[in-house]
Amino acid sequence: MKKIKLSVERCKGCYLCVANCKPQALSISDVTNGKGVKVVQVDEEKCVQCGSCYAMCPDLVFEIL
Amino acid sequence: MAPRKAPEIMYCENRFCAGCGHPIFDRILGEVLTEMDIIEDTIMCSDIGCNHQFQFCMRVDTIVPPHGKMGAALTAQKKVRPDKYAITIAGDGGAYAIGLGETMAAATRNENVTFFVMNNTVFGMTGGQMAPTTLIGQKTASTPAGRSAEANGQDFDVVQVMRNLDIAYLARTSITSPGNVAKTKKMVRKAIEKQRDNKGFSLVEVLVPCPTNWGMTPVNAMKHIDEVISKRYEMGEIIDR
Repeated sequence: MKKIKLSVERCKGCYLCVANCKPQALSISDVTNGKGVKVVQVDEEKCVQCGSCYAMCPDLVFEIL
Repeated sequence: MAPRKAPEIMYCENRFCAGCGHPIFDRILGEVLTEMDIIEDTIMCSDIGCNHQFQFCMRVDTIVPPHGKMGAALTAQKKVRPDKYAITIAGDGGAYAIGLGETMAAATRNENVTFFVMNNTVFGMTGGQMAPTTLIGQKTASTPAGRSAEANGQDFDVVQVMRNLDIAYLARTSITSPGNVAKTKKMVRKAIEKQRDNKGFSLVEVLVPCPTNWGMTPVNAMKHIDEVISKRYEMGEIIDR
């Protein structure tokens, strides 16, 4: 079951989410979006749905399901 | 755990730089307006500056007075429409420099309005020039060698000036970590509740990063607030009446 939904096309690449992800489930991927930004990716096995990424993201990329 | 998704009031992507603190605060305010179910009963007052861009990503009624005159505009707005919440998202340049007179006058009259001031210690939209809140020694576009008290004046803490006034709520917070975001949300709610209960003037100053003009990465800008700026400016709730 999916725990977290990412709208990576909104990502501007500040990576505040990666810095604040305590379980280290988030990382920078090699995929670039329309803004030319390397977007974040999530390891669902490590994600504990704490919502830190949602709280820190300025661009509303994350949705905790 | 309850699902968390952006409130519907936030209807599209924002136009802020990567790592800017403003949109984090805008989302917090959107959540509070949604939870209190007062979106339709709110008229926002926009400042000029980076902060005004909330109106392009938030579905809420907004008026735009001249730069810095939010204190006067909110006062008028509250007198004309006392049934509506009068709230502004202002910048430190607008509220503390250009509009200092209006901000302080609204506070001294204890008007029943709510100020949210985004303090990033520079004039962000015009290219990062020195603001009254710029720290001593801080390099900006207009103080390339660092601000000095002799040449540029002392850094100005408006919250400290206001603490002796008879106002309803005064607080300073930041959005540098998920914990601080949660604290900020509580303060935002409290400030709006003061207006709901006709207690009077409330002001919450939020320390936000400006990675573009500080020349830092977004993550380092957040650390800079925690390690430097929040040491200079007193944090927490200062007045709660």
